[in-house]
Amino acid sequence: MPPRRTSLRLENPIEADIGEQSPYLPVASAASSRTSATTSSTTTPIFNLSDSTPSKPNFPDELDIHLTQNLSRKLSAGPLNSPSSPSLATRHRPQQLHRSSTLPRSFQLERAPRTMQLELDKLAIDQETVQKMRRWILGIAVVEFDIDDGPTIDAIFPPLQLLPAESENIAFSAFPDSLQFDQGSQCHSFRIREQWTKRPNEKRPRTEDGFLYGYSHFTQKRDAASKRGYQQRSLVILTHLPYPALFSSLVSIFGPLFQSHGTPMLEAACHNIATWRDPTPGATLELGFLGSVLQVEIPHTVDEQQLTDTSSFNEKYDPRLHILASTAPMTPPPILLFEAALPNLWSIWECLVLCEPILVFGTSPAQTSQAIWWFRDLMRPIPLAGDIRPYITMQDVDHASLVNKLPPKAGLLLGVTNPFFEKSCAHWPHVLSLGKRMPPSSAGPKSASMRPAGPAPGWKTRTHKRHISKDRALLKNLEHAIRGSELSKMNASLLLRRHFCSRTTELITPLHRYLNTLIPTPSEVKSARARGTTSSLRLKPFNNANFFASLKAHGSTLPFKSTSKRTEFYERWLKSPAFGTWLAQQEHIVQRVLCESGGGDIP
Amino acid sequence: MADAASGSTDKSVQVKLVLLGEAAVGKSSVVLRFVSNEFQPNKEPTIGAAFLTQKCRLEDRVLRYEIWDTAGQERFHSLAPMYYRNAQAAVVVYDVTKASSLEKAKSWVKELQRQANPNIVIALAGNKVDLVQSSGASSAGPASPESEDEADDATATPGETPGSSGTEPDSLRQVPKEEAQAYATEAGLLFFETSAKTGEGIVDIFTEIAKKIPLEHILAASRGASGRSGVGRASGTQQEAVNLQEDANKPKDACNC
Repeated sequence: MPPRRTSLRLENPIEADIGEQSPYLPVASAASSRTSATTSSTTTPIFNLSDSTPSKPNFPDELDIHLTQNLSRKLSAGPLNSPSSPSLATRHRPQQLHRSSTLPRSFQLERAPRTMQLELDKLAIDQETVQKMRRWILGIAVVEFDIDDGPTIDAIFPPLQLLPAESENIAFSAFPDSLQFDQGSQCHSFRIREQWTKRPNEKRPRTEDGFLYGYSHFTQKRDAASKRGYQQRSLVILTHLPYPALFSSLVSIFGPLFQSHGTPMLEAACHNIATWRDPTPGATLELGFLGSVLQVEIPHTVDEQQLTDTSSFNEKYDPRLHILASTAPMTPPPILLFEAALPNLWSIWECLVLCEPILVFGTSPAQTSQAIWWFRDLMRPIPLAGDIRPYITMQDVDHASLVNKLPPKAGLLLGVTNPFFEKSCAHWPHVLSLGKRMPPSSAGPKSASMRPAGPAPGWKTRTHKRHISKDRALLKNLEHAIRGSELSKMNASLLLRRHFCSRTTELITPLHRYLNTLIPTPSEVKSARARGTTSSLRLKPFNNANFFASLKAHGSTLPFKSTSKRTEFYERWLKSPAFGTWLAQQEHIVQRVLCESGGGDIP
Repeated sequence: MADAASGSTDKSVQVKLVLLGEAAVGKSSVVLRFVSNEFQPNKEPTIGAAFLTQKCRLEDRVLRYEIWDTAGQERFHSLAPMYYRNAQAAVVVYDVTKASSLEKAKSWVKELQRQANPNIVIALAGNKVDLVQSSGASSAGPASPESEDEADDATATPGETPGSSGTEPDSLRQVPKEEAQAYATEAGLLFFETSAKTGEGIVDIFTEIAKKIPLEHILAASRGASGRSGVGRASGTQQEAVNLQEDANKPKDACNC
C-alpha cells in the first residue's frame, strides 16, 4: 500500500526540462507568481522543493507522478520520454537553479491568497441565478499549477463549498498526470466520490449518486512570465449530472474562450446556463451556449440506452450536430481507442456485462475518460453495479481503497495514465491499453524512446474465455474503417456502439421473459384487490432453476458458441452484482406499477 | 406559430442574428418585444448574452432567428466576436435620446464590417423613439422607480422621469432621424427608428432583414454541411409561445410568426 500523497512536490527533472526550454525561467515576475507577488517580506521567487526537503523521503520515486511520471520512469525503467515532446525529457537543469535548497523552511508554509478567487469574489451573482444554474452545473473551477502544492483550485464560481480533500481531489483529477504536449489543450472528465457528509445547503447542493462529475479543459502554453516557463491551467465544469457528451462539448467550447477572455467569460457562461430550460429527463433541448447552439437529448434515466436510430432530433442523428447527453464524447471517433484491440472487443464486452474489473490504460486522460464512458454506455440498460472512474490519479481519496493488494472489486473500471498503476494493478485480471499498436518494424532505439509509458496497446486477460461469437463481418468492417477517413471512422464507431447496445439488450431479453412470469397474474391482482391487500402484491422470487428452464425452452438471440457456454455465461451473470442491481430495479418498477394502478392494469 | 410547435421545420432557414449596442439602449427590450411581444420597464442588464429564438414566415419561406442578445456593458465587449462570428444578421441599437450611443453604434458597425461575416446584413435601430414623440409621450408615462445605485449596470432610460414626458418630448431627442438615416445609407445599413415599448418598428427590422438575407444561399450552405435546420426543437419553449400576428403594426408581408 503506497502512502497517499497529500501534496505534490515537483522533482528536479521536470523543472530542468521546462526551464531549459524557456529562456525566461530565471525571471522572477511578481505579477505572475502568487507567491512572490504576495510575500511581502521578499521578492525572491520560491522554486521547487528539492531533494533535501524533509518531506522528500516519504515519497519513493514511483510516486512522484505529477508531470514527472515519464521522468521518474526514466530513472527506474529506462528512457521514456513524452510522446509528443521527446526532447523535453532529455535535458538537465543547471545546478545553480536549485535555490530552494537554501531557502528558509518557513517560506514553504506561507500561502498566498488565490488571485483568481479575489477577482471572482468581486463578481456579483444573485442567488436566483445561482439556483437556476445549479439545475445543470454546480460551478466552474479554475485549477492552476502551484509550484509548491501542485495542482490547486485557484478559484471556483459561483462559490461552492468543498472539503479540503474534495478540493484536492478535483485539482489533481483536473490535470493530466503525464506530459501531454509542449503546448496545447485537451478535454477529459472524471468522477470522484463526494466527501460531504453534512446536510446540503445553498453553497453545497445535493448530488444524485454521491459522486461529483468534473469535465476538464487543460491547457499548457509557454508563458514568459511564469517561473516554470509554462502556464498550465485546467477549467473544470463541476456537476452532479453524468452527461459526458454534453459537458465535454460545453467545456471544450468554454475552455478556449476563458483562456482568451478571462472572468467575463466565466460570468457569461454561468448566466447563460442559468437561462436554460430544466434538464428534464427525456427532454430534447436547444441550448444556446456562448454563441453556439447545441441540440441535446437528455435520457429518461441514467440507465436508458440513448440510441442514435431512435433519437428525438427532427432529423437523422449526426454526431457533429447532436448530443445524446449520457453517451461518451464522440470526438475523436471512439473506434480509435480500440485500434489495437478490435478483435478483442467481444471479450471486453463480456467482461463489462459480467462486472469483471478492468484497468484501462491510456496515454492521456482524454483517452481513458472517453473509453470508460463508452464502456459505461454499452452496459445500458443494465444498471451500473460497479464503480467507474473515467480518470483516476494516485492522489484520489479512493486510490487506496480501489487499488491495493486485494483482488479488485467487481465492476470496477479504472481509467489511468500513470505507469505506476501497471505495477500496483499487476494482479488485476484484465488490462486494456488504448490506442494504436506500434508496428514492430519500427522498433529501433529511437522509436523505443518514443513509446509511451505503460503497457503496450492491446487487451490482456488472464482469466476470461469468450462465450459468445464475434461478429466477423463487423470486425472486418471496423478494421477497414480504421484505415479510412474520419467519416468512416465515425460511422464505424456508431455501428460498433449500435452492435453492442443491441447485444446488451439481447442479453437481458431472456431474463425479462422469465421475469414476466413472476409478475402477479391479473386474477391474483383481482383477488388481492377484492381482499384489499394490494400492497402485498409483489414479484415472485427469482428461481435460478426455473430461469434456466425458461432459457432452455426459449433460447437466446445472442450467438453463443454452444448451449453449455450459454448456461455458463448466464450462471456467471446471475452471480454478478449486475444481476442483483437489475433485479432490485425490476422489483421496484413492478411494485410501483402495482401500487400506482391499485393492482389494475399490468404492463 | 403552429408549425413551430409541431417541429415540422424541415424547410426553415436558421439565421444567426446578433444584437449589439451601448448599455441601456434597449437591446433586450427590442428582442423581448419581437419574441414575446412584451415590454418590461427596468430590465436587468444582460450578462454575457441571452439566447432566444423566433420563427418567422416571409412569403413562402420559413426562417428561424437564433438571436444572441449581447451585453452592452464595456467589460463584455471583448466577448462580442464569439456572438457575431458566423452571424448572418446584426441589429445595432442606439438610443435616440443619447447622442453618444450612436457613436458607439457606429463603432460596432465598423467592427462588424471589418471582422464579421462579409455578407452580414446589418440594421441600425434608433430605439426609445416613443420618448420623443408628442403623440406617444402620454403612453411613455411615468417610469417606475429606477434603481440607480449602479449607473453602469442599470438599464436606465434617460429623461423617462415623471414630469419630463409629455411636455416637450422632442427636446429629449439627441439624434436627429435625418442624421442617422444619412449615416445608415452611407454605411449600407438598414435603418429604423423603433420603440420596444410601443412595438413601433420592431417587426419591421426583422422583416427587412429577412428580405435582404440570401436565404437560398444559407439553405444551400447549411444543407451542404448537413445543416441543422430546425433540429432538436423542443415544443413549447418559452420563446416559441408567442403570436406576433396580434401586432397591429405588422406590415402585410411581415414575419408571420
